[in-house]
Amino acid sequence: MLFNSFSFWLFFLPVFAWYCVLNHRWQNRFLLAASCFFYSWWEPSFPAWDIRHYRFVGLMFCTAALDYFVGNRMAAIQDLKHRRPWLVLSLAANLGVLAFFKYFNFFADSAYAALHACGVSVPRWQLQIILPVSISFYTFQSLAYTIDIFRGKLQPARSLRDYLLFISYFPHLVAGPINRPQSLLAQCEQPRRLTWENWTQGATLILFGLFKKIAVADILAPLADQAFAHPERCSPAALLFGLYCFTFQIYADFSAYTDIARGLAKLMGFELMRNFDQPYFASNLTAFWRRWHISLSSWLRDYLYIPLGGNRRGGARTYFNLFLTMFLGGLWHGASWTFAIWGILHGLYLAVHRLWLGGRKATDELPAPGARQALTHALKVLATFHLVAFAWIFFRAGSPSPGLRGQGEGAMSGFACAFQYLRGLWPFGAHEHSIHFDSDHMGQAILAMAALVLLIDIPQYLKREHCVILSWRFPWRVAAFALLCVWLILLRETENVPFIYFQF
Amino acid sequence: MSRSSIFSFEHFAGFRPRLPATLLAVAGLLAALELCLRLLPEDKLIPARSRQGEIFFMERQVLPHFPKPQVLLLGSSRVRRAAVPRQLDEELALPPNSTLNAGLASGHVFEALYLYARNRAQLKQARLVMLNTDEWHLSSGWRLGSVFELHAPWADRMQLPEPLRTRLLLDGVFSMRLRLRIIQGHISNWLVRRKPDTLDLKLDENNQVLPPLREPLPVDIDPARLDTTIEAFYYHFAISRVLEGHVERLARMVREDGGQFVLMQLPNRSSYQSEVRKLHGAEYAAHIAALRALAARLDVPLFLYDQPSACGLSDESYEDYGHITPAGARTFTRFLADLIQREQWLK
Repeated sequence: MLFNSFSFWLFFLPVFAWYCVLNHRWQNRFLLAASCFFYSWWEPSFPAWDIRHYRFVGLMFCTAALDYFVGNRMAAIQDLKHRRPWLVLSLAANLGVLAFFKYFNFFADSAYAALHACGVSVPRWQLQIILPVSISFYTFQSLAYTIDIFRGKLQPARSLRDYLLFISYFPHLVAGPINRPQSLLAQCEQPRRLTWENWTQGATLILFGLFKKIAVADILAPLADQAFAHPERCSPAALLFGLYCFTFQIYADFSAYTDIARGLAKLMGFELMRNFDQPYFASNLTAFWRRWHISLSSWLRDYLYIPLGGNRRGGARTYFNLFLTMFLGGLWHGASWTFAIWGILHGLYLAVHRLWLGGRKATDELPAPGARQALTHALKVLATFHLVAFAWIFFRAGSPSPGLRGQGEGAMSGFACAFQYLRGLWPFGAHEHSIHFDSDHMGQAILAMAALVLLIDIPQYLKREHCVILSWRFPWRVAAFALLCVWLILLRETENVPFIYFQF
Repeated sequence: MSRSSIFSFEHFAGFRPRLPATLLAVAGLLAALELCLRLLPEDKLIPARSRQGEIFFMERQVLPHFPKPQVLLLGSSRVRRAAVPRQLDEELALPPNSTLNAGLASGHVFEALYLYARNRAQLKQARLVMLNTDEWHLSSGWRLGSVFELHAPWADRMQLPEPLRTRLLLDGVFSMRLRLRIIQGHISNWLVRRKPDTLDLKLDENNQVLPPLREPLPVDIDPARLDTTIEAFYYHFAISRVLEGHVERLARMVREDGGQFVLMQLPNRSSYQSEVRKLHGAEYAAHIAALRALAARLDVPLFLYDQPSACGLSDESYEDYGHITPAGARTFTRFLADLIQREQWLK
């Protein structure tokens, strides 16, 4: 059930209408039931009356119930040493389930390939495993809960119902943001208020999200798909254009999901955390990670980088921690070495930036007025953007588009694709260019990228406010909303591509 | 309300609704734009080079030449290329301009149905209506085209699977995406300094609708492109009850008009067909099974040709994966005439 589908709105509108008239306790029960229904929709193999239709709901609730139990046990124990076994149990259960469903085949394949390369002949182990949707997201959210209770930073949830709702709340269930229990669990437990302001802001965020997804990401997707499906057949210019398309597509796609999730939550009186803060306007790589997928990067910082020692254990250890954090962050996205390389590349970027800064603090402020300062800042933004775009080659090579038309048996492996892409970008080699982009489609793609930057990102960046349009004067506000709506209707891509982050 | 009630409006405390002026203004603007576009005649807005543009071309340039059609051929560009109307007239000893080949480029059954329904007074004179199906005709995975997007009944829109359903429902409410294409086309042409699109079709001396200057195409085809074509045709392949319904509606209309309705499927190039069996054998089998079931349900003749040799053709008779060359078309037309005579459909 995609947010941009009729089915979703057929589900959401009655749920919202009922939600508005129920008392707090029943609101939570009702939302929990709606979330189960929403999540079980992703299991198309079995009909709704078959118990197996709910197997992944069952899996999610089993791990969540264990964490709820572990949280209560830890809260009852004062001594940190005695809490530790309970934390280990929670970590083992959550990471074990994640490892089995997401990484078993990957590690089995990697081990097989490594042994095979060393001349050791072993049988190949492969299991037919279906990856449960959103397992990476809810696992991290659940882990944050038990770790924070272990650290004494959080009181356990008052009821299992509220805790299950915190984990499974449908707007953010499938692709985040990864909310912290201090914020979302507290909102589940407390009565929420419905306000007119939240409704207008929520509706605006939903419109922004739909615009980004339908009129930007889905327009760019076919061009990026074409370039990544057969990089060996594209000219360097086409590959560069395809890379720009993917760079904007992934941002528009993922931030669209977050905007819609936040908008839906706002309608219901919830406040989900911001996940994006105009990342492509970052003037350095450190700042990029403060603006991109904020809920994941802050999770990795708080629950991985800092526990590893952060920057408190000397230079070498700091760089090791950075690499390890980014490597695991890369692998979190998917079971493929290309994701790991993407993570390592970002680790390298961050390490070089740290080295370059010396002891200085990384800043990302708008420059003081002046042509020279503005130019320097613009160059930094441009350089950061291109470094990020370069790294996306590995990310995209490891994750073929879920809606890709025509990429069947001829599709390349992630490494081969990344290698061909990098080779093809080199402008001085001999190339056979049989793939040419349709000029109309290219024009639409350029317009879509420009619309994203000019209509949404620049106003938000300058005012540091997501719903900046609402503060404009009436005629401008109407004009802007009407333009977004007409654009959404006119430039709607005929192909409906699932959100990229659904596969993680 | 009692305290034990599950209902509560306490969370609305302090809720101050205002007149949603922005929402109303935007909705009003959109509604006004949509209404204006719906009031404008369709042929002023539809680009020439489109499915609907091709139907307009058929209606204005082709149909007037066939005031009393006896044989009507419907389907995609494959049937348009395969059958030569003047030759068929001669082979069947019919008066001139009795065979109308109304195949449309990438034509879906819905477009055939739409063309037939719009021009029923003229087309109902046909004693034989042959619908040539393609392997993608019953699958909702292949693009359904702008004619369907503009004119599909609401029931059809609702019954198709997601994400098609959302797209078609939106197109049903806001048809401006389709109706404003001509303006978009003009802007694109102006931006890239390109000549406006025109439809380069012509009714030739054989009564066949073809592009006027056809260069002889190389007979061999790139296997890599073949893969791409197959993947496109079998993309998200799923036999759709809605698309079967279009065949049923067309058959019913023809029957009501006293004509003989025949289902047929022209053979593709054999190298293509073997590639299809390799890559999408199960899907192709599902299509054939659906077609057989449909013919049985409708009680209409079905002629399925799997190999070119079954119609006296060879791989050299094809320009590409499935479009027949002019020489091949003459062979196929002779074969078709024999079939019609043998089955006595015009008696």
